[in-house]
Amino acid sequence: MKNFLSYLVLLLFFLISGFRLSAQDQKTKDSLLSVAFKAKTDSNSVLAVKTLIGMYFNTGNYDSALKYGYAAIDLSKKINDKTSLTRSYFNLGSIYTNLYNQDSLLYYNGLAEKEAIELKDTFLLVHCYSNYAAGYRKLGDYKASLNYAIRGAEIAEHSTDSAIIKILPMLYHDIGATFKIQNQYRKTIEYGEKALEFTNYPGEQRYRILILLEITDAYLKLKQLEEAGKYISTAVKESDSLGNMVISLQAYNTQAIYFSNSGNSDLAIETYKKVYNLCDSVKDYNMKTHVANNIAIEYWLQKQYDKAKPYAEEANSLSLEQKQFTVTASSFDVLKRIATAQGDYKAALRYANLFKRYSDSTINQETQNQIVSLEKKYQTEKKEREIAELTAANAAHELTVARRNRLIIAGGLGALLLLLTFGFLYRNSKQKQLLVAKENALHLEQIEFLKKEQQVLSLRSMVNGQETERTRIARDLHDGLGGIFSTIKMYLSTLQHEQEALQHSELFNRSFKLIDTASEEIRRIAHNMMPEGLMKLGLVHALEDMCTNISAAKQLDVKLQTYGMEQRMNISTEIMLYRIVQELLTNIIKHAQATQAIVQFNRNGDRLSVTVEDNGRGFNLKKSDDKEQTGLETVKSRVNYLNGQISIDSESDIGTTVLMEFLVNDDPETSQSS
Amino acid sequence: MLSIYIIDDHPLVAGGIAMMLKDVGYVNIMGTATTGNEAINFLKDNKPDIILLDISLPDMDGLQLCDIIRKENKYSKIIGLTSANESSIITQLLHRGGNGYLLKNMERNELLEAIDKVINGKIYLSRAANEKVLEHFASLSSALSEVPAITRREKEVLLLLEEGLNGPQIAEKLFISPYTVETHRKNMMQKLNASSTQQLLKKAKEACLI
Repeated sequence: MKNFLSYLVLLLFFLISGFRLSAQDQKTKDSLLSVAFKAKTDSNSVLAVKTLIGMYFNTGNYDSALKYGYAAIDLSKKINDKTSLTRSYFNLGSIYTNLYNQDSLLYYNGLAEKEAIELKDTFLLVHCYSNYAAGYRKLGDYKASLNYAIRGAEIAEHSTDSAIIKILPMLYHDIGATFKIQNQYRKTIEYGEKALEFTNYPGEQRYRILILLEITDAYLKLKQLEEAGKYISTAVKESDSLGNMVISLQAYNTQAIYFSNSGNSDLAIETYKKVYNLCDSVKDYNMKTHVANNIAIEYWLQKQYDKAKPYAEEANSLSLEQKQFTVTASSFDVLKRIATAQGDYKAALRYANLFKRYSDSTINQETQNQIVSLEKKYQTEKKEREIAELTAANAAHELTVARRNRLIIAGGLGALLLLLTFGFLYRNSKQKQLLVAKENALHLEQIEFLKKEQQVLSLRSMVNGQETERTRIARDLHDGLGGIFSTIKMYLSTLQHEQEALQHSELFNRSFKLIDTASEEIRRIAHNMMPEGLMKLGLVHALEDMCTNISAAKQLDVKLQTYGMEQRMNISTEIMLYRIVQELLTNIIKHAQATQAIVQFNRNGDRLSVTVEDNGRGFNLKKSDDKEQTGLETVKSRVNYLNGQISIDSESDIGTTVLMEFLVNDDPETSQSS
Repeated sequence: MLSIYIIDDHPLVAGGIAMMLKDVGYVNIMGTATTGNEAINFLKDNKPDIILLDISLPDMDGLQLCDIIRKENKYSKIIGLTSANESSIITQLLHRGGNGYLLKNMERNELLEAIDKVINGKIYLSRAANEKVLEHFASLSSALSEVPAITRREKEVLLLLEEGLNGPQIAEKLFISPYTVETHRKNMMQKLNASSTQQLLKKAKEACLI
């Protein structure tokens, strides 16, 4: 009962607000209302409401149509009629198209489309495509609009169902309208003519008129006034008989534009004024703005500046309200011209500046439109989600929940968006920082690497040169000087044999002894320079010699342990390792006061670890003046030369362990050539 | 008459040797060579009783030349000559079929003693070389008989492994890197011929290392 009353109140409101209904119509509506909202809902109730919607829709009373549109959805849900519900969704979408509410159109149309596909209702599906085409066109997404219209037209063209074929003109109209926006007027006319072929049925008048208007407009744009005149007079005639205010509005508007283009200013003004008055009835303020501006322009052309001014001012304020800045700019232009004509140059200058400012914003309008369209797309999605959540909720709480949810979601989304934005910016900047840091680190690493490589290279060449030199000197000592001394000794020993008296000569004996000492010294020096065993037999043998020699001299008891060392390494590596062990053992003998030492070589594939450990007094690694450190520095640089790792662990009175690890290759040839 | 062939890149040394042997009636110097290849060519057709071989030759390694000579010639006695007194080289020479070893700064008596020894089928080593070789064999035999020694650090790692700690835990405890711990563990496994940590611990216990 409450519902019924509210609809009644609504109805009364429309009656008061100047919507003219014939007595006959009113009677029909009353009876329909009583059927629709009777105590027990059934399929008749839905039918009644739908009829009501149709009546309001066809006469351009979209607000009322909208109210009953929602009522139809409620009723369809009550009687659980899916087909009816789907149509109701579709109707609601169609109503929204005419209310310039594209997001609602897309939403309800989407619901209808989904159901239509499920129900395999081609008729409805094609209608949905048509609605999409109109909606997307109004959103400025012409590609999507054409896409839907053409898809719908294809289905309809191949259909044998006359009901579906009847949709074709609507689709052609959609295609034509989209082409017109893209300045393809010939295409608009082509599709318009195509559509007209299908509109010779009663009840199709609405579309027929719209199509006629589209064609008129296209001809006007092409400056083919004669053709335009033919189409517009038919359109106005038909719209007068239809009684749909929205259609009449558009027909008159197009007619006025036609008059204006034909140079018939008086008729143009008269017709524009018809439109102007109708705009209030159908609440089309968008159109009203344009029309007011056009009237002002017409009066200005007629040099009736006093009459032009109020219309220009109204167009100006309305356009600012409606954010129709193209019109704002134009109205400022008109106002400037009027002021100039009336000699008010100060005002003219002001208007000129304002015109400039708004023309700039007009240029930006395209961008703004894009933003608006994007925003609407986003909102449609958002709403879809919202509503999907809501449908599950209790109908009684629907509204409050909706409001609350909307607030929460809007707030939440806002917060989320803010958070995401900050997060993104933060991440971006952090990533940038990281990237820069990474790059820097990489550069430093490269520099370090190059430095190290340079070091190794210079060390390598130095060491190689050093070892080559040592080898050469050792050989010279052995073979040259050593040979000479050996030979002298041979001569002397022969002489001693031949001249027995010499055996008693002290001077001869001392000379002989010194020669022997010198020869021994040369041998020792040469050996230290480059042990022959190292070159001839390899590292392990040379190390054995070294350890044996040290142990034999009772300097230190050195144990050598080698594992996996059967294969020789390249000669420079072997020399280097030999020198490292030699240096470490020399260090131990000189400083550690150790009695025992272990030299251990473990090789596993490419990995070689070398341990030299003593049981000496240990030393403080941090004390840089320690003499042991100088020896260790040499060792470290040699380990570095081999790209090895060294760790020194020294404990007071327990001893020192030096662990070195290397990666070695098996090729004994490589470094001999280098 | 004993025929002697001298291989030494230093003509002075060869001359010195010849000088020492000039009034030894039972010795005849067959010839001298200053390079390995010259010697190989000569020895194709000649079999001297004694070859004095310098270990350091300009064109090839003396030890290698010893091998080459021995392949064709089991008859000649080979005495190595070198200025270096290194046990590894001495033992290698003996391995390859050398019969003696003389340091170049020998005296006449030594040379005659060496000739006498090798001709009688004995091994001659110069006094100094003799000592070296003995030391060497001593260290070798001790190394063979002994259980491999483990370093202090290795023992610490071994004990912690026995406690059931893993690599990173041991590393933390000993203030060394886990990689180093791993190196120690692997080295010990290699040393004791163990294939797993369990086996390593078992073998270490058997060897009384822990």
